[in-house]
Amino acid sequence: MHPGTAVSGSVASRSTGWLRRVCALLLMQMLFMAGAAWGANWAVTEVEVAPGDFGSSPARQSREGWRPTTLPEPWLRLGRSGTWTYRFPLEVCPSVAVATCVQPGQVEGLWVPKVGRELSVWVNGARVLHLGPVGAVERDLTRRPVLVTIPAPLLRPGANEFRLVVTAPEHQVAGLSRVWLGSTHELTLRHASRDHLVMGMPGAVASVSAILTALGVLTALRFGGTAVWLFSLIGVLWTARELLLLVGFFVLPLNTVLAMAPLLQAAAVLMSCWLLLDLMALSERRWVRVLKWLVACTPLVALAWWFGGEASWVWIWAWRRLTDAAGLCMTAVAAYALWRQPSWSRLFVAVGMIGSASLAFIDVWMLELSDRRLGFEHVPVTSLMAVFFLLSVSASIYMRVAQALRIEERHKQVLAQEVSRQRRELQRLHARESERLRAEAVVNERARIVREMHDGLGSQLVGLLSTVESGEYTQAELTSEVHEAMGQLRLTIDTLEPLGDDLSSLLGQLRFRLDGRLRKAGLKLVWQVRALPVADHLSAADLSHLQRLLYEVFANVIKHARATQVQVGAAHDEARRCIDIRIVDNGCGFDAGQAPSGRGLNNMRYRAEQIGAILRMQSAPGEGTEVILQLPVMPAQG
Amino acid sequence: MTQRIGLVEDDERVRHALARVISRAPGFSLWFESGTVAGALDWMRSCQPVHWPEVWLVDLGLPDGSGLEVIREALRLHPGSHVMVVSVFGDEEKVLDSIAAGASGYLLKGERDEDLLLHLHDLLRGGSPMSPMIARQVLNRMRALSERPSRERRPDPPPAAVEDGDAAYLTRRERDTLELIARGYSYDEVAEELSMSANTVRHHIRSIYAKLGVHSKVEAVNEARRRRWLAVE
Repeated sequence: MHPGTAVSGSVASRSTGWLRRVCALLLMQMLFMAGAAWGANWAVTEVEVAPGDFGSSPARQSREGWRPTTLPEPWLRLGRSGTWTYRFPLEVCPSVAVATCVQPGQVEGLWVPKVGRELSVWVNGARVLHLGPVGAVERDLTRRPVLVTIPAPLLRPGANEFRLVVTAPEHQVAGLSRVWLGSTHELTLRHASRDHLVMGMPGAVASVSAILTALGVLTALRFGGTAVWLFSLIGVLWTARELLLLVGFFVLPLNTVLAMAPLLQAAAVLMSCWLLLDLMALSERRWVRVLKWLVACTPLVALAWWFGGEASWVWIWAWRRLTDAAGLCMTAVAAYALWRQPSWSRLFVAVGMIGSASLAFIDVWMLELSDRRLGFEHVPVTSLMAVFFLLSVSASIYMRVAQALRIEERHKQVLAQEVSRQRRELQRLHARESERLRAEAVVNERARIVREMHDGLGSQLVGLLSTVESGEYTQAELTSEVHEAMGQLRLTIDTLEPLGDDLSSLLGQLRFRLDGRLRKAGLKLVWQVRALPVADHLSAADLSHLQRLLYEVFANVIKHARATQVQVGAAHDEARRCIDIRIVDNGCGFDAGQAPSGRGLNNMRYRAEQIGAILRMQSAPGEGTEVILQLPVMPAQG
Repeated sequence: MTQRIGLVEDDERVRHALARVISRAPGFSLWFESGTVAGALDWMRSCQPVHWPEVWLVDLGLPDGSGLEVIREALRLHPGSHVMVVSVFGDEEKVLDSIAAGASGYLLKGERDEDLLLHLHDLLRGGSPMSPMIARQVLNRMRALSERPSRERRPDPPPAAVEDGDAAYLTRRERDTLELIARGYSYDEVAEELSMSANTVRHHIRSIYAKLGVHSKVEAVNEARRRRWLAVE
């Protein structure tokens, strides 16, 4: 690392695109990590250190108390705290020819990549910089680099001395990285690249995790599900952590920010473990309970820190290590589960966990475990864990949803097949049932016809036969009896015609059948049958009852009434929802009080009852007879 | 002029009864009688037109076939013949079929002689009987065609319907007439109810009978079209 080593580094101009800038940043970081020479600037590694603040006391030039050391020097590993002063000399050449000294004007500034937590820079006994709680803005020097411009008059030709006073409380990341000297231009480029890297990473991570979190919350609100809610919560925690590191210093005390960030990270890691158990379908109740307890303990740790004073930083450090261990365990579990039962969903989760664990391990290794002092200058990559984990979990959840959709689609097909099968089965059963009903109807109808034949025509023929055998009847009487039997048969046949529910045709046909007999009896018929509503609630048997009932009425008029006129009216009474049939004769009538309770009348009452009709008869001797039949009409369906 | 009657009836007693009625009636003479389809068809085919009976009485249920064959053959040979069906009940489906085949009416078996004669005279004067049940069945059968659709709504009318289009549909008057008859009104009562003469009612009934024949042909064509027996051009 010699000042004379000139490398003509091409520098990315400020106006180049973001992609080039990111590439340049990465490249610079790599070069920086490798400790390669950049150009006209160099790193100071060999210094002397002494406990206490000696920046302003150039009098103490003695060698007592000072001992040599090599930068970078991480304090945490040395168990160092308090205030320490580092010093190193710089020889400025009086003339150009000497190679062991720097040219005048070659050192314009001083750059420190990482220092913690307070820093004062003295050049030849003059303070050029003070950063820390005393300053106007408290800065986290352990994260951001420090660039100092050295006023030209301060550097004299010959021997010069730089002193850097570093102060840090116990148990915190502190120390001093290498100190770079060189031209302001070169140092500014270095400073900018590191600062962009240190501050840009939390910014990018915060943006990505905020977007993923928003998507997660929307999905959770829309569809619900433990996994999605956990995902959203983890996203919230990570976003909060990154935002805290990015802008928290402006609104919160530095110590609060430094304490809250690891606690948020710890909570996020614990919840990630919980989510992992859920995603891997390894919901062991005990583990989940332990994780819930740990998550609940995190605020307690924060409280312990708040009231515990300086020593409680150990709590936070220990808590982080504990959660890291939990994360490592879960990573192992994820890897094991993937090995036992491979699936895309598990693969993504396992990759996410292993990647996150690796990133966390890099930081822990660099800052706390590695022997390499350069590890102190390492830029923490823990933030990237969030992106890595959230993206892989998103992928895993997506795989799960996609698989669920595929399964659902398959279920739908199976369901559709099942439905169509059942529909066919139902149709088959329906066809069988209708066939059964039809067969039953046929049987019932047959029984009815047999009954009619038996009661009507059969008994009439038997009567006729006995009459003929007795030989007491005249030819005319016998003819009349046979005609009567014929009429009965025709009535039966009429009820078999498929006119069904048409009551007006039933009345009309009855008249048609009785026309000859009415005419012969000298009866004048006044026919007033209006259009009647369909009475499809009446069965064939009901219609037969109605027909026989009316026939009986007519037969009575013909046989007994000695009337000259019969008035038949039928109309639909819509208000009372019934059909009124009135048969009025002007015959001799009878005494309603002493009505002949013959079989005919009882029969009529029975038939009326069977069809749910009301039968009324009004008569008085010499004043004719009025028969009224009220047949209810079912209320129209629909 | 005496009306010559051909009688096809297998029941000998019924045939005798009818023969008795006809022989008693002035203006009628029994010209031919047969108990089988074959006998009737043989006689018809060998009969000289001058000897052709103007009136045919045909029973439907014959031992060697259906009376419908006799009816169709008679009307094929002499379309102007009066053919009447002799039926026990007068309203079987077959009666309707025979009317559709061209019969102009029916006589009921087992009626008293005077009633029978009355009906015969009625028939020959052009008055076809129609029971309420037949009226209802005609209405039901022709319901599909009773409402005559407009030409635009039938872009593809069946050929027969175009040919006999007007003849296949009932007019409003005819439908009203049928409706009243189905409710049991007599011809005279129908005439009074619809404010027309009894002759007009008889005319409507004859027209309905004729349309029933046409209708059954249209229906047959439609059925054939439905079954794609006829190529649709």
